Amino acid sequence: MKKILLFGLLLTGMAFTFSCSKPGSESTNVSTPPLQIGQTISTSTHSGTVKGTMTSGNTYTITGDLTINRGDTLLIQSNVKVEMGPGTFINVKGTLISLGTKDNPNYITSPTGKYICDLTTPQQSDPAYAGLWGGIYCDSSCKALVLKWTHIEFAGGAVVNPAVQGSSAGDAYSMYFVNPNGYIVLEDDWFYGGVDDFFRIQSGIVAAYRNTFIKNSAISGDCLNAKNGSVGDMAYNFFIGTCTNGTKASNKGAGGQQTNISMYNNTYINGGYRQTQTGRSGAIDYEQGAKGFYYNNLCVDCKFGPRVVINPTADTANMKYGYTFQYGDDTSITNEFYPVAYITVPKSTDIPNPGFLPSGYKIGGKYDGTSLVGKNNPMFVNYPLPNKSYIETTCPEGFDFHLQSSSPCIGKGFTGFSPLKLVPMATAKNPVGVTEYTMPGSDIGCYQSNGSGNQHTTW
Amino acid sequence: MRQIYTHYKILFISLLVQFFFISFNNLSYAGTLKGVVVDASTKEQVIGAMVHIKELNISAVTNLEGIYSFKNLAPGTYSLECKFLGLRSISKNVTVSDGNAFTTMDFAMESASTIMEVNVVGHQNNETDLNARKSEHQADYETNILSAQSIQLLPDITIANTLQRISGVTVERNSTGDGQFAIVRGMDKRYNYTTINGIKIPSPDNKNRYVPLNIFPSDIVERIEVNKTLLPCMEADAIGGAVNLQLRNAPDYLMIKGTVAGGYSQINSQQPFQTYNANPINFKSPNQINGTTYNALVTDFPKSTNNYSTIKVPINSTANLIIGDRFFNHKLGVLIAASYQNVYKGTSESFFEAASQPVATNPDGSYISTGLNRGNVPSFDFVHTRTISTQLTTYAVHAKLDYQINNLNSLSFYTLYVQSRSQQVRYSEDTATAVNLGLLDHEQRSVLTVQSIYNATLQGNHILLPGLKLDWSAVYAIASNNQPDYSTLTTENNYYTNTPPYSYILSLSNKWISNTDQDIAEYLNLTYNYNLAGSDLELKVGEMDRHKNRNNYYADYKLSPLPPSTSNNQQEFTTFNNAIFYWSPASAATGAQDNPNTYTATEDVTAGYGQVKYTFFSKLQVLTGVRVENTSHSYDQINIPVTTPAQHGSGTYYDVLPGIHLKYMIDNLQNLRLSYYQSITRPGFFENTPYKLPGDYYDEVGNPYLKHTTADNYDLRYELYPKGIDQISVGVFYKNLYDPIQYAFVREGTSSQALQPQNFSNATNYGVEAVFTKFFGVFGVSANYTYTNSSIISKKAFYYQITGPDGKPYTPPFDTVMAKTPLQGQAEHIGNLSLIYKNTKQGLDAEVAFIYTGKHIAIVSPYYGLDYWQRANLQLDFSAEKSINKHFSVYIKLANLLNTPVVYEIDRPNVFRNAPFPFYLPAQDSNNNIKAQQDIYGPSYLGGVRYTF
Repeated sequence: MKKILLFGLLLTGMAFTFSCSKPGSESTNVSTPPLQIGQTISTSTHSGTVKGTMTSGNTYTITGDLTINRGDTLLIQSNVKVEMGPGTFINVKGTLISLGTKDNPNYITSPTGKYICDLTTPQQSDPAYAGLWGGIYCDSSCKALVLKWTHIEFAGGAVVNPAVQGSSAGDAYSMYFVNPNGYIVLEDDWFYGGVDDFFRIQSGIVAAYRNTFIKNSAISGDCLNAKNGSVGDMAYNFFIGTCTNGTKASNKGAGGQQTNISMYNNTYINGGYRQTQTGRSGAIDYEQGAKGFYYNNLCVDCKFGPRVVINPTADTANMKYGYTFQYGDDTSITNEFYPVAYITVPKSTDIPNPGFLPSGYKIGGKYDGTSLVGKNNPMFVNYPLPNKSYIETTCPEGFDFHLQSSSPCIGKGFTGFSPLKLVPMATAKNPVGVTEYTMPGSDIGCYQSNGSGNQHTTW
Repeated sequence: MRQIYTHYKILFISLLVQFFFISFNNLSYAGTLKGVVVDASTKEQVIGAMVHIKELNISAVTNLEGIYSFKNLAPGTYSLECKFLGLRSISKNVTVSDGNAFTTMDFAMESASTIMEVNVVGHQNNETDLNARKSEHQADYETNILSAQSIQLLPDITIANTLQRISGVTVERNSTGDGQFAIVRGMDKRYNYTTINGIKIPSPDNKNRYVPLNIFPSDIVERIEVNKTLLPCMEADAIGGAVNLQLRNAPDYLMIKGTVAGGYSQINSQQPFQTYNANPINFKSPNQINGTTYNALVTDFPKSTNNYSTIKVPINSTANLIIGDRFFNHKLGVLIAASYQNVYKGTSESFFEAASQPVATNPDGSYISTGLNRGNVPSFDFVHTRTISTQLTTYAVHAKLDYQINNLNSLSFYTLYVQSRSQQVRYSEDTATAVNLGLLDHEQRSVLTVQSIYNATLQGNHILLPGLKLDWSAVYAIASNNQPDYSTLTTENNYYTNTPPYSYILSLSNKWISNTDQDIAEYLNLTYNYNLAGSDLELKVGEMDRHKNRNNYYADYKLSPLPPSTSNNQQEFTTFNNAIFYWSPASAATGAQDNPNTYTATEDVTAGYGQVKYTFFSKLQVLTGVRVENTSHSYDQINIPVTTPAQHGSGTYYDVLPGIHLKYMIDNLQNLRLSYYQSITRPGFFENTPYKLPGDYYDEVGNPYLKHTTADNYDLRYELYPKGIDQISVGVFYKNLYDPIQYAFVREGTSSQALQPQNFSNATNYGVEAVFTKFFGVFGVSANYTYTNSSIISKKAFYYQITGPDGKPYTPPFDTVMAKTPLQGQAEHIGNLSLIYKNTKQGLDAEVAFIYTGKHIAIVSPYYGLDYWQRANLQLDFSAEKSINKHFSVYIKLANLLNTPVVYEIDRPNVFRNAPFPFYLPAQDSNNNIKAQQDIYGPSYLGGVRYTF
């Protein structure tokens, strides 16, 4: 009996000894990228982790991905050509600055790219949409992407190895930015071609002034697509033959500040026709919690007028807009000056004046725009309207979109507002900044009759 | 349809009426001679014993209470003989007197021979309810067992559906309405494991380690055991419970059993059953065949995958065959079992798709800025109406050999191969509510899923010295999953601008998803029995280790419709054969091979334990001991460069897991059990890998820093086994989890949100479980009920608007809150009720079974208050079997007779029910919650013949 009790005591003791023990510690090892110090770039550099200066007058041939480390800067002086090989990317974890000038612009392009500006080449044979190289992908540590007087062309090849936060294999953006505190400065640049969104601004502080966008995106995608955490100005840009929208703002995403974008004095020509989904807009778009304002924009033969979305709804309480000038060569266009099923409110400052809308018109309702076809010709210096080939006309080649002195756009602009101006000004010592904030213009569109606004005369 | 429904209702009611009529009719013939037959050694009733009256040459068979009876016997003296296989026959004389007086004659039968006492593996018939009850009674741990005898009568044909009949178990269903994974005591599938004959098996699931139980036909098992407490000698990674499938063993004598059945799923008469020719599909992707740099051609993708035909009357069929015998003087036992099922399932689904991110304002523009009700208004983009057709074909072959070398040594080998092939067409018509002006998206998705599990185990049992036993197992197992050419075609109809083309192609995606999971394991146990002070002392030590290798492959080929040369960029959709696709950009032709979802992973588990069992004063059994498990794991995303953060990783941990299990045997019929033990749960390999996948509801990402979960488990249970298969048990449990894993909100980079498995500080789960089974003659009631209450605190996000200083609303950055919810899958109330009729004499068995599953979280949302709850539901099934003669019987299984829909809803005020366009949602039935999905499967019927040799 004693023996049994003793044994029972032993068993109980054993159990309690163990029951007080805590599980052993857990150790986890997760790989970090092998550290590579940025090497100073030279014309004999073809790939790898780089920093330093690409010097004037040189051509750089890139055959593998370039990476700019956190804290490092790669600066491109004027008159530099960077030729990107198939499938190559520039991954920016530090700062990338390209300082082209009006007389000596820079090129980041594909050596095999070819401009096609006829009306007949099918889209699938046009190198503009082929994604001949990858793109410029800026990580959450990227302090700034500054591009001035620079051509970015033929990019949009699919991501194979996602190298920056939030991007995935298969992404086909020409440019991507994902730092809500980083600066994006795009001034006087030319952006040609691309596959998906030309520039997916996943978050960032933007100043996009006086750029020219040509033939961006293949079958879906916008030119400047700003998501949650993106704030800033998009002004005096010229868009032609865009797949979907020229400028778009949405608060989709997580965690950053509310999307707040101003879009003013932009010119949108023939936008929205390569998008395969119906109802996706062709010039301006605000949706899903985004706020901001748009004024003085000129839309010619775009598939849809400016779109303010109801579901998921834009932050309409904090949106202001008006002074939109629209021209259409077909009833399918004029019927969508105020896109059906959205909530763009017609403004008395719009041209044509919304007085044409029938009595009883409800916001987002259908109306008959037949009487507006061919009306309100904006009178470009050299772009004949009506143009029945508006879908195929995706290049500015041979045209001049400056306004004739008799243009009805002249003097109709609204100047009583101020841009957001969230990126600091550039200084002689610090090129990270904006050279010129062009203030609201009194003429509608990107070319002002006083010579200000978009400065591009060639592309 | 309504008419058919009414018809079948009438049919059903008349069936029920008949059923009771027969029974009462039967009772009115109260016999004049009756008695009970018991096993002399165990005092348990013997069911199915035959009592024969020589003079009249008539027989009676004992019922579930061991009672036999003869009615209307003429007065006189009769010679009775009582026979039962394995027990010694008894002959007795009885005198029946005049009139209607009852005469009683009981029998106590003794063991027929000494054969049962020899150390023989698996000679007992474990397939009976009685034996299941006996095992529950005698087990050292808390367990609930369902025997093949019960399973045979149940209306279910897969293990997963069968499992939900067991106390404390609910199942998670797939899109066909079939149960797939077990949730034990409100603990999600990740907290449970599945074994076959006690050996853990790998999972073909492409994401997780839990085994989809719908791939096992229910007729392959001898019994299903759900173990609610774990002993040190059992693998420790279950917090909810461990499901063990005990496969059939070789019988003592020649056995041949088989069934053939045919059936029909009623929903297939209401919607077309669509299918396609899957033969041209290649199981390897173009890049697996031609190398990772290969540019796939558009012609590499067979057109047949997207060309549908309709099967007019799809007939379900099932069959099984079991053959077993013993050879060489009973030394070699062989059993081979094969099972085949081919079932056509239909689902009619309404799915209101919410954008992954909610909005801040109600449809009327109002908004709430503070408190837990702020913001988070779901934003419904699409109203989908889906018709899902699934052909599920399952094969299972199982063989078991055991060889009795001598009285001291035996070897056994068993092998199992299961393959399930699901060919599914999901056809959706999607109305975009946002642009609801004649824009209609069509999506057709063709998915072929082939999953298989192969397992081979060699086991040995050796008596080394008197009292010292050694047993070992060597295991090889491999599970695989293939989803080749997972194809999704999206087209859009435009009744909107009223200009052609009215139907045009948007996109085509073809994915190849495959994985294999291979286990090599060995187990070794030493048991020493010693008589200490008149009672048996058992000491047991053992070890196991398992090496696991996993491979995952993922490729996604996204094709674009070739833009036509006409002015519009939209390619008209006529037929799939006419559709023309191209790659945009050209680099899409490599199928994004280098993605993070292609990886290899390993896991090595080494474990050892020691345990002691002793019974004090013949009343109190104490079993205590400790188990140590050491785990090391690694992953490698082989196709992406090392310059990607977290491209590979590894981890190690060990756990010391004590346990004590007390069993107080109040008397022969009652037990009181009390136990405490620690256990763990390991994250899935997939979860430890930093994968990134678009989910059906939210994008999902992996978490290489995910830790394993540990838990303290406390259990108390009272059990009463009054007689026969009657049973009453009531238990309570309490679990405390450390580092529990729950899917929760994560900010992916700075820009997008996703669901990620994450550890949270702790979670608790407690509940009460009750089981009641009682037979009144031929009638029986079997019921169980489980109450569970769990809670976990996890991170949830808010998206909302507040009023700024200027009086205008604005959207501040996302907020998060630590919020308390039940564990995913935990229903507060679950229960089963079966009304059983078993008339051994007439050879008629019938069962009406109800299952109630309370509301529970089915899908976790990263946003506060937006979890998807599955609405409580009640399911009704009926089954019956009638023997025709000694060898044949016929049976029917009628499932889901109430056509119970599965409804998912969001538990917040329904602001969409009466909202204006475009916010209005159809089919809403409450102001208090938002119906987001409804699946209807319809009843299904199966009728068949059983043959027993």
